[in-house]
Amino acid sequence: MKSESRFGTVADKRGEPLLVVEHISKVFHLNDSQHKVLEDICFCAYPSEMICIVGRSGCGKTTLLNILAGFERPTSGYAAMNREIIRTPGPDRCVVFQEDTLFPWLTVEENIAFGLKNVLKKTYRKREVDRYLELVGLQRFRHYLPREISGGMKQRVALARVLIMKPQVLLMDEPFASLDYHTRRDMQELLVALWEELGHTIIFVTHDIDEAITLADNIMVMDTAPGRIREKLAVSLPRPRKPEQSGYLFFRKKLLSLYEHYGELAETGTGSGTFEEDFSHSGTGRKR
Amino acid sequence: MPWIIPSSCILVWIVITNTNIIPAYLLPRPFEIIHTGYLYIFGEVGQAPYAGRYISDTLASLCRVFLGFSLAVLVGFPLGIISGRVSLVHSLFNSFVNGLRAIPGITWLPLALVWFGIGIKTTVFLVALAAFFPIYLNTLSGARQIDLNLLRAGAMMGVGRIRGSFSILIPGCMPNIMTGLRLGLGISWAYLVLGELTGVPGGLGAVIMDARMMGRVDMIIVGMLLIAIVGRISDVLLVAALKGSLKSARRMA
Repeated sequence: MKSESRFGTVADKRGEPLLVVEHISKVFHLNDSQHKVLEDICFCAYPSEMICIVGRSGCGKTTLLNILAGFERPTSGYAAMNREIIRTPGPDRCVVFQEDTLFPWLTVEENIAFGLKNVLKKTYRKREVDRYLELVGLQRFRHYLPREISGGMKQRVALARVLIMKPQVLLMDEPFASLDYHTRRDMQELLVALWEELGHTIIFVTHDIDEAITLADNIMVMDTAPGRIREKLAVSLPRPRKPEQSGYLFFRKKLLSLYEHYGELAETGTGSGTFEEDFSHSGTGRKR
Repeated sequence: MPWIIPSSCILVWIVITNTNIIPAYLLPRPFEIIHTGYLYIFGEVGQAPYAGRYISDTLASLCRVFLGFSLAVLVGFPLGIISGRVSLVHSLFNSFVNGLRAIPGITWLPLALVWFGIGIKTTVFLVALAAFFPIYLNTLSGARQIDLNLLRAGAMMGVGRIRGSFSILIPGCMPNIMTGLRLGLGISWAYLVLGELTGVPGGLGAVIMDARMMGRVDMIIVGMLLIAIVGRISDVLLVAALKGSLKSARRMA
């Protein structure tokens, strides 16, 4: 596969990538004018890897995730999973959305069971629902409707209803952005715990630098208009990660300076330039 | 508080009819209305004009409303759902439907009489035509406005387009669907009367028209009140049936 040449050295160490993104770009046409949202996005994700994509709002993070999920098609380039090009949504790549997208007419339990409708064995279905209710700590709320529970609980349900599908890749689109600080920390902890237990690959999109450092194995920094991956950074801190940990500040400073730099570029409209040559394709950034 | 205005209206009515300001052949006394209504509903056939006809008239009217309304649902609901999601179907139908809607429903009556003659077919046609628009338009706007991510969530969990329509799309726009059905049923009763005014043998609207020719204002008013009551009950029953049978109707509206 084409990607193996580029990421050859890394691939040798970690086996074959699960998800390969090759030169994806996406152009939207709005009343005759073209709007380039994504340009030349390349990366790959290995089994059980947690990748965070950070960037300002409007940098095309959601579009990228939609392409990976199969909701949208790229204008050029492709994304492939298990050597198969992604064309349609499927239960192997599940999305946790930014806003509440639970089915409002179903209870917590029924929402979680939704993806198992095809499974005929009732006892299996019940056991699985019980298991995932317990994993996200919502047994007491199984008969509640989405409108009756808090934002944090809703996202727990959203997490459980996709985890029950046993996806290989979990795509998360700023899922905790609308939660308060403490709930967000709790959810991040829960996500890491579930990830360590279940071992799926996670592509996590966020604009929150701290969230990215707390969660990620690898961070990719995107800039805006058009969205490009400018920097890839491996976070080598041990988990669980806390802001007071030594080394945390190093990543924070580094990300912040990158973030601000690309933000300014986007604002002045000179989004292309020298940094592309400097940073692009710098592997997974194992410079440290 | 809410009873002050209706009860004072009735009071004024009693005063006016008792002082003969308005003659009784224009506005009968409330007591006469009650008496006529009692005979109409509980009396025996032949006891007095119109006595005992209530059940058969209501059944005749219900049957027409049911047929016309069902026809409107059968066409309007699927068409609304499909045009809400398939833009080709939407562009094909929408301007046509809106053009048709510009024609006042009443003006279809002469044409319907020519096409279907006097009788049940004309009434059912008018009812179906009138009920179609609110059902179609509300279902359409519900299907258009549904959160795209709900459908996407279904797709990623392996729910196909057809099954997703039943398990996500329709429940998802249930509040709009219910509004459309209720408005449609409401307008069905209005057009039922229009259809029955043309001189069909039985039915609540037919009784009103018959009473006009006989100069029985009391019977006209009884008919009006009964149509209001039956219409209201049918609305309550419709809501109860939807809520009883569909989770989405029960939990979202």
